[in-house]
Amino acid sequence: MRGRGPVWLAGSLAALVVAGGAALAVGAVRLDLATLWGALAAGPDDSTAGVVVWSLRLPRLCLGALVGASLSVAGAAMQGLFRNPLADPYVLGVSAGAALGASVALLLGALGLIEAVGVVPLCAFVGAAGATWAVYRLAWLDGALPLTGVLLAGVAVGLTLTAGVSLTLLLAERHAGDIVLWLMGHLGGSGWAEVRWVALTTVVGVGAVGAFAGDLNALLTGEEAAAGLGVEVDRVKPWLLGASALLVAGAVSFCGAIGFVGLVVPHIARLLVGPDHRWLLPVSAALGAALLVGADTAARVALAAREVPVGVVTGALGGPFFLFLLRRRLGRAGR
Amino acid sequence: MLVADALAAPYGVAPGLSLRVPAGAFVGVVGPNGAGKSTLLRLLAGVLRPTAGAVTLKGAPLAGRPRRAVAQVMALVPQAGGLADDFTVAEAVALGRHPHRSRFGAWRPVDAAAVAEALAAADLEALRDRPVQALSGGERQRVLFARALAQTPEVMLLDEPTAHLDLAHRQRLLDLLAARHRAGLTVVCVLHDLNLAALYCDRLVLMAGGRVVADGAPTEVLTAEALATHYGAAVDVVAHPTHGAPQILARREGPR
Repeated sequence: MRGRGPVWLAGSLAALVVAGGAALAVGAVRLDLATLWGALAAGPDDSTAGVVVWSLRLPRLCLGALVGASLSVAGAAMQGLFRNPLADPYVLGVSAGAALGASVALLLGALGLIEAVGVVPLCAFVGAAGATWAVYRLAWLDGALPLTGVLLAGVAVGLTLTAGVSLTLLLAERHAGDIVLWLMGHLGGSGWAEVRWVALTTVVGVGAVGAFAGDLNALLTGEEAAAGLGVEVDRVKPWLLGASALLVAGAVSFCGAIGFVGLVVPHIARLLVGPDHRWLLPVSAALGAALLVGADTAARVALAAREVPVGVVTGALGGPFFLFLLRRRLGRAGR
Repeated sequence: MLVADALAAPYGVAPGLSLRVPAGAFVGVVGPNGAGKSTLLRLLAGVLRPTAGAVTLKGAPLAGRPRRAVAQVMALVPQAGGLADDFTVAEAVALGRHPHRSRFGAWRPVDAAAVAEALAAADLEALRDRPVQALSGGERQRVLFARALAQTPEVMLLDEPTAHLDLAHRQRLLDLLAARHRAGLTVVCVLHDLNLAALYCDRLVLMAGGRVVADGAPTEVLTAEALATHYGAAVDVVAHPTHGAPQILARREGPR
């Protein structure tokens, strides 16, 4: 087709390697290339460089890449499925469920009722799963999932659960800061255990969405036309929504609702390789990984005194960029 | 080839709707607005499930068959709008290969050949790299037609493929369709324009109020009486000077 797919996929992967290298090298302890290479080659050990690379920066880098890829692929799937450029991974209300689960866990932890540290991701995941289930139940009609219903149910469930999050903030009083920090989206303090879990949801979710790349292309023409092209519309939709929900749940449960990656990255990828999901999905994954790793590195070094949550960086960069895309699109339509 | 037997639908058509389309037919479905033409087409295509009765394609019922298998034999040209704007013409037509490709299958020479042939048959070769959003209405209709051709179907269902097109574009599209029909394609086409329907179809199905009220050769179906009854229109029917097909002339009421 356009023939640009392989080129841009290679380019996106190169960007990921560069962003990853920067993420490993910079920070409170600055590592030059030789030291970094030595530490990587030596494997985990007790040297300063070894600890910095293997226990702090590498797991964080992996987590960022996995979460970036998850959110971007979920975003691309949602935009394709809903045929709406404003759709993002969070339209399903999944993130609101995760936020409520996490904030309840953090609240109970702050009140001394539970040991919050290990429980937060679990509670967030349960919240995300519950929200997904609620959206499905509300939208399901006569054995089919009308997408307008999914969208409305997602918004309604999201708003309701967000009210619950506000309540936990109120109840948490002076501990509200911890919850707010979590909600903003962050990659800090993560280790290999988190990486393993998110790797699982990412691989399963990206694989499941990727298997339907051709169907997503056909669905861009509308559900009826897609059915005429041989797409089992009523089976593909729940599958894609479920896979996207899994991707979002995995990412958000460990890192909070990192904004704009899932909205903006698919648009950038579409500008590069066009609307064919066979290329759009892999390029989105690689680009999303690179972008989030890069943004997180920026978040670590931007303010010397303290770390900025990466969600703040992606929001600050993503908002204006999205406006730029929107104006470009409107300009083209008006010509 | 394609048989609808005593269909009922949740809307649009009266229960007990039946239609037989033998292989090689060129059937035009005509009727006033709201007659159930599009609903019939959607039932035949299997995108709308009948609440009673069954549609059979080549002897096997549609219900319960994988859509992929159906789409390999039967293509649907939906009303204008079934296109994604960001695709180029060639990419949009290539979607017609979807039912023939396996989930992770590569793009094969047979796919490329089918797309090339469809582009040629729909006279779109010059536009192949143009984005769909930059096309005119007539060109968009030809893209939908070419996409259906790329499915290499035996039956093609078309829902008002000439709607919103000017005379030359209507003629061109129907000429292209007639050429494929001569090459063996079975066609069921909803048409608004009765004169063109009479000119191109070898059989017309007149629908009114969700029922088939007349079914036969254009001369049998398009009579002044039938049009007065079902369209409520005062018309004269004359023979086409070149082709002999019945042509409808509107009659004016009152003095000029």
